[in-house]
Amino acid sequence: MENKEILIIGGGVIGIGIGWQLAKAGAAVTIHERGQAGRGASWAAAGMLGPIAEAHSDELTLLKLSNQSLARYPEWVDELETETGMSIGYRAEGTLIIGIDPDDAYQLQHTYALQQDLGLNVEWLSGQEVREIEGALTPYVTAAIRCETDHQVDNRLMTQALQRAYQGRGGVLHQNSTVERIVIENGTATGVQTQDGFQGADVCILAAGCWSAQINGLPDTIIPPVRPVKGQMLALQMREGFMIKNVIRTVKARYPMPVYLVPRTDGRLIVGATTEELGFDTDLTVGGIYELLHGACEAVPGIYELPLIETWTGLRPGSGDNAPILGKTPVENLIYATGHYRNGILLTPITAYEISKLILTGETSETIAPFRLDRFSK
Amino acid sequence: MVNKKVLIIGGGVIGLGIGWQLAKSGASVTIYDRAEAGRAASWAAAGMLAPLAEAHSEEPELLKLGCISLATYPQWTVELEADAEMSIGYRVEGTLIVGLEPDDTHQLRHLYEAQRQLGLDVDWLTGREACDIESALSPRVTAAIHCASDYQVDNRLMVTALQRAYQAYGGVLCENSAIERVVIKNGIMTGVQTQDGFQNADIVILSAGCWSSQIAGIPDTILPPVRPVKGQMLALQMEGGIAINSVIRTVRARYPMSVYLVPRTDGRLIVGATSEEMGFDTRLTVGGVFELLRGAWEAVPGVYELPILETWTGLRPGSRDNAPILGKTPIENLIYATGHYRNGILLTPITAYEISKLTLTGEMSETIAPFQLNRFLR
Repeated sequence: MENKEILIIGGGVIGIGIGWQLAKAGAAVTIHERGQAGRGASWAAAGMLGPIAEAHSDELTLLKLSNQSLARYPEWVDELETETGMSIGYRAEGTLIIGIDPDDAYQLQHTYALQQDLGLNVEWLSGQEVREIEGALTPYVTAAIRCETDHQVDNRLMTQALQRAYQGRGGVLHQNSTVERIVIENGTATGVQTQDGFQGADVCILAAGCWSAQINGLPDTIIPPVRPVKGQMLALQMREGFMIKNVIRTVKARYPMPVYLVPRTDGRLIVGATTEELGFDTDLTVGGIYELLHGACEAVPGIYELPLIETWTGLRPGSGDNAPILGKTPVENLIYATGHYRNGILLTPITAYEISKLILTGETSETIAPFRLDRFSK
Repeated sequence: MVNKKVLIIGGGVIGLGIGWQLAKSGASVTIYDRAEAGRAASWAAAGMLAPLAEAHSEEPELLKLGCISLATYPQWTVELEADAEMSIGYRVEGTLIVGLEPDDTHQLRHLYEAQRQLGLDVDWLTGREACDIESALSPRVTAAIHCASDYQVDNRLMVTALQRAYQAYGGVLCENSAIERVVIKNGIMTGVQTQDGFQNADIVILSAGCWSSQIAGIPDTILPPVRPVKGQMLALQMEGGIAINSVIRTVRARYPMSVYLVPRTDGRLIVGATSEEMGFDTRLTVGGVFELLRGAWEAVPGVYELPILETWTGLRPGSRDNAPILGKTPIENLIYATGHYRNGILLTPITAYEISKLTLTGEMSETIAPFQLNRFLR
């Protein structure tokens, strides 16, 4: 089984993560990436590992998957850093969800009650208590929820590490190589057509993020329901004497959108993000950047003086129900690992471990069984 | 006299403008620019030609110079567009200074009275009258001053045109060529030392903007008192029915700063600008970009949806009294044309015409006499 030829469409963290695990197990893996590897949603992301902060009562299976992936992060980090000799900036300082006025506090209470119902490990803090944890927070903070187990990773470092680890294990990476179509014969995927001709494979994995629905050759009925969801973001440069340690998130009682602030070990402070249904548009807008800066300044006034070092947009691969599409499809030897929406970085370890296991053993685990494509055809 | 050899330090609009006029008169001109010509304050500017909107009662001489230069603009534009064979985007739609709430109205009223006392051609408008001129203005506009004769030019096009016209007349432009020192013998300027050796000259003109006080070889006592004043700016793309024709400026009763919006014929909308004493720092900041976006959005709500095309900072060459330093110096054959602060684009024609005349004839006109360096040496 270990000499299988595997072809992966899409070189983001999902594709490379799976490829790395497969190459490590001895498979012959080739990744085709339409642009530069890891420079789509993987690069744009903030790297929050926040299943608890993002918990919704109507997405319990997703919450379970997220918690399982978070639990595997220490092992994942250790394995990846050992193989590459580089840090991926995993930080365990936790997340603070803060309220800035009475309306926010009301919404926070609602979130807190839900998290408690779900049995999550969260702590209610007064304004004074949360300011003792992060002194840079606005004095107007009224209350906060502390999600101590919601961590973060530097997704750009992880992207670079994954590529290094994958290639270190002999994985082949073709960048700027668009797959023109997946070739299916008698209900079985046999390979892909690229600009360089036909490439045969024992298994094809579709991990093309928000471009997954645009691959030719798939029967209409099994095209994964994935669309781009635009997010605008920016990065500030913190300075000595002004270093935030926790991930900070606001609630959106008053403003068009909540924001989050994610501090990196190199002093960058990532601020995100809008959520816009605008197709493949990647323009920055006045309103988007304004709301990010406004929300961030309200939460942490001291950032007003900081340099603004980067602005960018990314396209999240959103599925029909916000959960990823993982596992077998009606086409034999065609596997999906796409549609991770807001949770791609968080879900990379569980996706890489479980999809590579599926390919090597042919068996779908209980963990990912609820996320198969067939849930949409019911 | 027309075969004089002239050396100009600094290839911004001032240096290029003077050089073009001199080369056209038959002089042999060489410009040294420390970097790329016209890419500093000349490029960063918004191109407003607004002596009235910028009028201060304590700067009557500067107002007079600004008005003279503005009056020269039609002739300048015709001449430059003919020589360069390109448009420089001169627009005569006028400027609206708007107030958005009662405090602003009070400040506007004060400004209006000052303008009237100076005999300037300005009109007082109600909010509704202002919106009749620019329908994209906020319905909250309480009042406005219409400066019908405050125009604009596309400063980046003007840079390109000046360079083209200058070189067409045989002007020599040395880019990425910093002057090591000017060489003065017995109180007479003899030339400059560059990385390629000594270059002699009959006349040396210093037009190095905010770098003017850093030129080696000039005695400390006559170094021009010019410093960099940082400005943060951004450009939007007008689309979706948002079309502005006038220059729009706000007053700053409430916020840390006023903003202006300058519409270009190509659909760009320039928004500026902060005014910061930060030395040669050119970083964007959270607060700077935030205030620009907020100010623009408050004045013209429709900009909220517009794409942000570009963000940048520039360094204005600010003199001690905000007026330029023009004309002869205590060193024979050394002429200054620097320190134009916020008015470099506006004052380019008068500076180019008058300084080239001074260089060729040795005679100082009444127009620029008040702006000699010796006003600081008393």
